[in-house]
Amino acid sequence: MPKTTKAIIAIGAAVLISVLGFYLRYKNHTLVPLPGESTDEYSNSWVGLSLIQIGLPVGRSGLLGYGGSDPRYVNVDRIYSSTAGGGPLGINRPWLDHPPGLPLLTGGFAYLSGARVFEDATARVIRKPMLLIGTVTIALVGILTYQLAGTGAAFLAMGLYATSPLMTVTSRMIQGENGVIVAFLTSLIFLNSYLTKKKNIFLWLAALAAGGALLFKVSGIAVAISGAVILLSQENKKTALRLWETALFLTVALSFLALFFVYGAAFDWSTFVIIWQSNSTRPYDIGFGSLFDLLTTTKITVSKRLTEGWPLAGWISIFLLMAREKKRLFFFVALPVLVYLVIFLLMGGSAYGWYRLPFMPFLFIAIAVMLVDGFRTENKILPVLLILMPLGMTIHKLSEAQRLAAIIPLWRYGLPAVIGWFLFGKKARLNRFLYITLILAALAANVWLNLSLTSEFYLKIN
Amino acid sequence: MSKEARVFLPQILWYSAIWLVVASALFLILRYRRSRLYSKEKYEALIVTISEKRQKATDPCQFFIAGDPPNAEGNFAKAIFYCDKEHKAVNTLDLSVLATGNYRELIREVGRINGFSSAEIVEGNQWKCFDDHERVLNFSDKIKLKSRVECFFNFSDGEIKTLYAQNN
Repeated sequence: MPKTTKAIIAIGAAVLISVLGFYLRYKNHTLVPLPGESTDEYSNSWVGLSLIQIGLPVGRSGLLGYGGSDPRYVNVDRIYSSTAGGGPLGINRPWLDHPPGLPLLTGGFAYLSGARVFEDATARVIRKPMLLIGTVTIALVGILTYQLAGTGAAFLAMGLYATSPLMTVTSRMIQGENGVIVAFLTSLIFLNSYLTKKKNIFLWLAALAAGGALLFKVSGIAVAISGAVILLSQENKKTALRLWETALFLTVALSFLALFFVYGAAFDWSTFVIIWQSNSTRPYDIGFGSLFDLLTTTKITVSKRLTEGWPLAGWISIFLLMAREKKRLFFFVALPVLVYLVIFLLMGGSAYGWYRLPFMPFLFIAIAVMLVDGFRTENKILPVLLILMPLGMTIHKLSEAQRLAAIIPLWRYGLPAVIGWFLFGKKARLNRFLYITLILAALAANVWLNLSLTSEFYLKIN
Repeated sequence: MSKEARVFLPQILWYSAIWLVVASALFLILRYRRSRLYSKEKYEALIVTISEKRQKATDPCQFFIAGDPPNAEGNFAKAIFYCDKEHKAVNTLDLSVLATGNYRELIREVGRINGFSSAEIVEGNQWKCFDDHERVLNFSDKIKLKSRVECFFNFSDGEIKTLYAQNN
């Protein structure tokens, strides 16, 4: 097949996966997560809307540094009849908890859509930009995986990321981490291009993207640190060159953090400093079991879970990748996870599910790499287990919405049969066929669970 | 100066100069916009104005404020509306949101939150309101903490008494 035809088919397939991902994110996006489940979603948009409307960031905050707040009932989406609880929202001005990147994006979109007061910023309006961000993230996952592991892994990573119910639900949320993900992936893609093509423009683009992460949340500093470590770890360059590249990269990236300081100073420097201190001395809510919890639970908020097997399969895949010789995969997949893990544990002031989002693209890339490698190797038992674990969990969740009692015997006897087959079966072609069937079944189960995720079902499952 | 420094140092210096210009402009623009746009009235309007797109309530019983305010520390009141024998709405309000802590403000704020007009309840004569079984005659009276304000639409005194007797 000619190269151009291959490229056209590949791009077409990538577009199709992205469209599927968009559709799954779009369906029920106004209902799941429940509007008001996290009032931060509204607050983030109000900050942008108020910046545009009255020139001052206004939002809700739980930080003590403000020394009190203005308690108000803002009954957007009628959250007081459903999810918000009976308490008013503690409004603060100027709101300086986080950089204004996401507020300007969603609040700006709300303003362009006709929103003029806080109550106008409904989930239907403010979640729309997140659908676009979520879809762009799918494409970026594909591009980075393509650069690191080729076309097959790229399609699989895109497919899994596009259809994972946990990702479809959390990517709808107006949380800064969803913006950090986009900047993280973009920065790594340009950095990889810089290392392979040696063009200065890619270093600049990588640095600007790393800086972009800091417009969404300060924890986006993980992007700058990851990039700096990658640049410093190049083996085939002189030390002076590596140091200068890193200096340029960090100057550009961290200048965006400095912009946040300028932003804070423009409104109220003393409040900004107190809030900065307040943010860095938050109680360590993630607790002693934070690492175990991170690996074994998949959260939406503090208490609401959407249990899914893919992240655990991802963590296992990351650990397996770390044991490998392939340095590019380590630096562009495992290292970002480790750097963000350090930031997550240091800044771990809260057990909210969205703090974990920046791990996710890398976990899915790691799974895809392991599964594609598994396809090529003779012994497939390990990747088969990596598929069966999330597949089983997805079917388990589905069984809470659909009548699946009929397939219980199939699962009971099928699961040991599949494991046994891959332990002892030596027919390579048949093994490959079964292997692909399992992956397709896992993807189909993901899609099915997504389509079943109405607000009623979402309330039921955990 | 090393070859690397000759390549990268000018880039860093140029970028820093541009950053300084951008940061100064950002600072000045933010300050200018705040001084031009911000006022307490606009802030209030932004927060309390009811969205035109939000569905208006057909009566005070259509919507409610669920749950007790967790941080009110006793500074709350319940506002319960009986629209007919079958329909009622229970609301709990943190009193710290009220500029003036009286019955009129309580009902007005619950009305604003839930999207109904409080004028009919406060000014009309089809509604009768009680605070802990005592008739509210003056809506400008200060509201007591943890009050249970109950308003009845087209209920006779006898029907209200019966209802209280049933509830007790």
